[in-house]
Amino acid sequence: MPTPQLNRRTFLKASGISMALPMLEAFGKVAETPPKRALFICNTLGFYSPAFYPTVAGPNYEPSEYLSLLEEHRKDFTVFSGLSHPDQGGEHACEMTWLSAARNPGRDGFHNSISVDQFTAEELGYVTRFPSLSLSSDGPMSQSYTGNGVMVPAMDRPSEVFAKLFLSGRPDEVAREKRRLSDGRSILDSLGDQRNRLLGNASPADRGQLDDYFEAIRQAERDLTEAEAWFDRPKPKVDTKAPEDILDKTDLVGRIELLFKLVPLILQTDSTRVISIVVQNNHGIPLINGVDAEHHNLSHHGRDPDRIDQLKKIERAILACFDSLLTQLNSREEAGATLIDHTLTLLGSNLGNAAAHDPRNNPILLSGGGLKHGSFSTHSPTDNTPLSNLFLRMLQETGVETDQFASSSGVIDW
Amino acid sequence: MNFSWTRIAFVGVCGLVLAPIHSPAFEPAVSPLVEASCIECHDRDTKTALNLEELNFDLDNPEAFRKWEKVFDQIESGKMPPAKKPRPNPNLKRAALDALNQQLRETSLTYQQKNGRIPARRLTRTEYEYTLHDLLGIGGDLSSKLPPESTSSTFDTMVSEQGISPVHIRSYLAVANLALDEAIELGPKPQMEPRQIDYRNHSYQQMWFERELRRGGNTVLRTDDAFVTFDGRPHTTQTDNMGIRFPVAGRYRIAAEAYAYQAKTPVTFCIYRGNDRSGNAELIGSWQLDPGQAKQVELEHYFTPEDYFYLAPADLDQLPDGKAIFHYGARRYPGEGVAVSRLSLEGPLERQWPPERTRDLLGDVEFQAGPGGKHKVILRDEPQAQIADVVSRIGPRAFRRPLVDEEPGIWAALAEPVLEEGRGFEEGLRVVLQAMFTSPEFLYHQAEPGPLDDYALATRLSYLLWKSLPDDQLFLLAAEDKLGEPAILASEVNRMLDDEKSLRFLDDFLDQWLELEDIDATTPDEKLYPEYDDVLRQAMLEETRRFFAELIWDDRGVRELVDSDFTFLNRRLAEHYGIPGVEGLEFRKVTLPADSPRGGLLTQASLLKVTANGTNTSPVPRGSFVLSNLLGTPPSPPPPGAGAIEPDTRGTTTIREELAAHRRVKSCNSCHRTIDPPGFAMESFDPIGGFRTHYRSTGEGRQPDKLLFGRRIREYRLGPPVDASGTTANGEPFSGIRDFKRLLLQQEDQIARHFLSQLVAYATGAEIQFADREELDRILDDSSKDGYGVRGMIHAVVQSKMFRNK
Repeated sequence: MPTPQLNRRTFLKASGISMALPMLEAFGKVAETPPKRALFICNTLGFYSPAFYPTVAGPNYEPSEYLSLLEEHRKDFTVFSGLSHPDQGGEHACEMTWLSAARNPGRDGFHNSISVDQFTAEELGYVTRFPSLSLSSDGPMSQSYTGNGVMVPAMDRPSEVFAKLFLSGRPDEVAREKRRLSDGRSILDSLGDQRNRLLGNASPADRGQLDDYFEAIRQAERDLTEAEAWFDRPKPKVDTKAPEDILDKTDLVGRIELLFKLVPLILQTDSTRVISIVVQNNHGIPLINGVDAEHHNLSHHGRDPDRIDQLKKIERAILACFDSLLTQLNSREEAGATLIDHTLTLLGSNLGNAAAHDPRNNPILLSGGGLKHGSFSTHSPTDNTPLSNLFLRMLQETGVETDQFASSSGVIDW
Repeated sequence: MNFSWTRIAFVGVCGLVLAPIHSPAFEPAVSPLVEASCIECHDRDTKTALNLEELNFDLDNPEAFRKWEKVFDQIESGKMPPAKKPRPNPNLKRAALDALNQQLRETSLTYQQKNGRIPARRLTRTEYEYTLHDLLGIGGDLSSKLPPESTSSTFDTMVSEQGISPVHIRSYLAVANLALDEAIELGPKPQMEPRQIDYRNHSYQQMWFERELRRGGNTVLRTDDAFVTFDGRPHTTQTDNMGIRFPVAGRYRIAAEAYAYQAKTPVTFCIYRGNDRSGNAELIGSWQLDPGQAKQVELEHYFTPEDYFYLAPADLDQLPDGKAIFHYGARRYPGEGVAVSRLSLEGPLERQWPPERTRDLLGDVEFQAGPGGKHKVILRDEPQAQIADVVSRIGPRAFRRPLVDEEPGIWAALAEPVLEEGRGFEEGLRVVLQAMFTSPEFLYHQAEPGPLDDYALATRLSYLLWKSLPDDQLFLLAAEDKLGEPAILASEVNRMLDDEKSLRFLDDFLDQWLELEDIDATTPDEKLYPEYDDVLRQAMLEETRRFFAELIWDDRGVRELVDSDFTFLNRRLAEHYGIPGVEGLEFRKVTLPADSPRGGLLTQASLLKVTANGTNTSPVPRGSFVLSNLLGTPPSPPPPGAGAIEPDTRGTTTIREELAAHRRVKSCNSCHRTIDPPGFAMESFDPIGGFRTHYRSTGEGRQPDKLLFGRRIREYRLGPPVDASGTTANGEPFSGIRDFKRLLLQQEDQIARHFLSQLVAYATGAEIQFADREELDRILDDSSKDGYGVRGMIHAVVQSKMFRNK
């Protein structure tokens, strides 16, 4: 087990951000290099592949229709083809395994396993106020799963994320919240203390379930204790106004933009080092010019050119949001470089061809993290390379010492 | 193959030096058959999932057990060896099956006797909410604030898929806290009397009356006597925008008088509940308004301070020129609308204040209104003692068993630090109750292996039929040790099914068994299916629920799941189905015309919708649904690398043409010959369950001649004709859905078997196990004499050993 890197510290000099620096014993030394973070973004309905992939492999590729939208950042990302998790399927069931690579989602007896973001968070621990953040453009479904296969719900309200990270609330609210935390902790503490009595009442046949329960109690108590400790340290201050949520779920672009705008703030204040974002749109027709059908319905375009055209409008809009995210990360200076150099951002999808629910050949793009970028790296379309090989590379880059993740067969290079 | 299979297996077993040395009794009986008929394909080079060279005989290993169980089933059903291979020697086969059967059964039985069929099952999030609702007399949304349940098994009650995590624990604490906020209501007494909501004269509405059309106004109208709305967008009538809030959580009554405005045909008046936080809206009331007569309507619903409501019209005809309100503005629009002449809000509907639920929970205390109307709780005894008193009243219900003497004290002690901090009785009590609602005794159905005691039986029964804690009568019968008597148990089942709380079972079971919870997973394409709206959506679900309820109330046979001569309709659904003579939005039982394709589950719009996406249908998921959910014989997943079908809605190729190409591939055809036929028969129904003779198309095709919203259809065209004929895997041809249902009924026994298995799984939290098979067969045998009556099957499950033992 690697030791969490407690000796690192981020200096925040970028415009728009100042941070009240808490006196943290754990952070004795000021580090020269900022930590590396990982950001996972999944567009669950895929990217129309003829518009996504370039035709020529290597650094001299001619940008595809979609990649031309990101041309400004060409040297900051690598495009991959021929990656996917083995043994996926079940229409959209592979959404829940995109970060975990668990096999046969949706089949009887399926159990999810830990997702790469939660794996990272567990390794890093509470070096930041939040070990990880799971965000979504619509609803609580996330791709973050704990070790025993339980989903960590996503937050889909930027204002709540912002408040959680940066706002302290009124004194009476703060006091109430603090009491709530400490009541919660002492409740869990006392339930833990009653373990022997409660197990004594229980049948040995139920022992396994109750052991899991008490383990969850123990971990939740640890979480609350950490949260309480962070509670007394002032939250970082950012001089950005709290975002106003867009309640209209059809405003897909607006909602994604709001989420993406949080990313640089989260990273620069070192509030967490692992973020997963699910881009999904389950409600209504996206408010995009020239689009008059739902995103999911358009992904089943039936090879109708007009519908493909509309689908591409949505996907171009999503990629434009991603482009502006890269621009933001690129424009924030951090320790002599920019935020992008310290952030590995994965953009991709669990579906290679959404029209046929085909979970192979995921569209994948990795940016930043100080890696060598700028090319189109191809893998076999018929015998895909495990996507976990790329996850493994990201884990190692973020300082997690492991040579295996889920179905990885090695670490990817390009 | 160069090696003897038995030798390798033997080496394999001995290789595990530390494993207990079994001398598996079935090995000598099974090996000859395996050698003769199986190993040729299922060796180490196999392309299948079964490698018999590596499968050991240790049935205590769950993985090995599962595989041998499957081997048994495949051989017994005759599916293996496959038809193209020589038939196995009948003597070898009999000997192998007998030995396997005996050994599997013994292993399973031994496990059950030692551990029970299932370990403790956790309350699902639905059950957590209902339990707190019933325990505390509250009604707000709690379940959506708990982590979603795993979707990888059919039912969320299945122990094998139920996880617990720190996320759960933290959510229980938070949700218990919310529940207690609602339960302990000490705020000032709110206004409860009916108050008018005057849309006509409200200042917020003036803005919309007066604002220009291009700035979003002029879509609502003030007439001499009413407020008229012409479209369903919420913001104009949303009560929170008008500064009207629900002051506290509770039941409220909305009463209104409305009439159809400028209408030639009936229109529908809808009221929706919206929620600030979830952003979701729910249709909570809909009434048909006939031209020329005003109607008084009323609804009661639970609202919380985060909720609001709004008004919306539905079923409005459009103008012949297709122009809408947005082309005219409300003041000039000559089309149909809904006029509301009076609307009042009453509530919270409480007889006293603080409300009864608060008084019931806090027990022997008095209330004193203080400054600002807030109520102070006056205790009669020491806070510690009064908290212990609450625990001793709530505890037995929460834990579903009597408390032992010291328990109230143990729980009440949790309040000590809070009381010492001077935070008072309520805060102390809250901490105690939060702890109880997070404790394993609340969250888990625990029991000793063997027969359930009466309290555990009451719990299992109550969570089956009510999804919540036992009521006083069940508790009393358990206390008197009478519940286990078969006649009493049966009469309790009847009593519980007659109680409206059994609708929770109905909804929850159907939501999961028939996947109705996914009704909104896709939204029908507005161009292809413009007639779909919330009123129709709700009617679809209502049909299936009422239909299934009828099977229970009337003890009708499972064959009616496949075909019935009746269903439940209201005008809206009847129009959708093309069945004349059903007026109004109230549901009623309707005898289907003799030539109707409807009848049974497979032709109900709800089910046809969840098996389609919003744009098109494919026989594959529908066929797979019939095999998995109705027959319990799910198809194998496609082999890795199998091409997927990519449908085409251009109006040039049909899904059947594409599937035909797929089925010409041998490896595809071996499964698709079974999967596709039920789906072919269901091709007569579009993604929203409408009957079709032609596919709707966005491209090629002819103009439909029927009317939509009282005008010609411009949104879609009629493409290629539908072919709903096919041939079953057994080679029996069918011409369409009616024919197919007839063929499907030949499998009535299998349908009954699967239905019963699903009931057992849902009720107990575990799939049918090998040792359960005998009892399952016995129940089916008995039940077949009554034509597999659904109510009878529920009774049989409750009386079964599977249900009555841990």
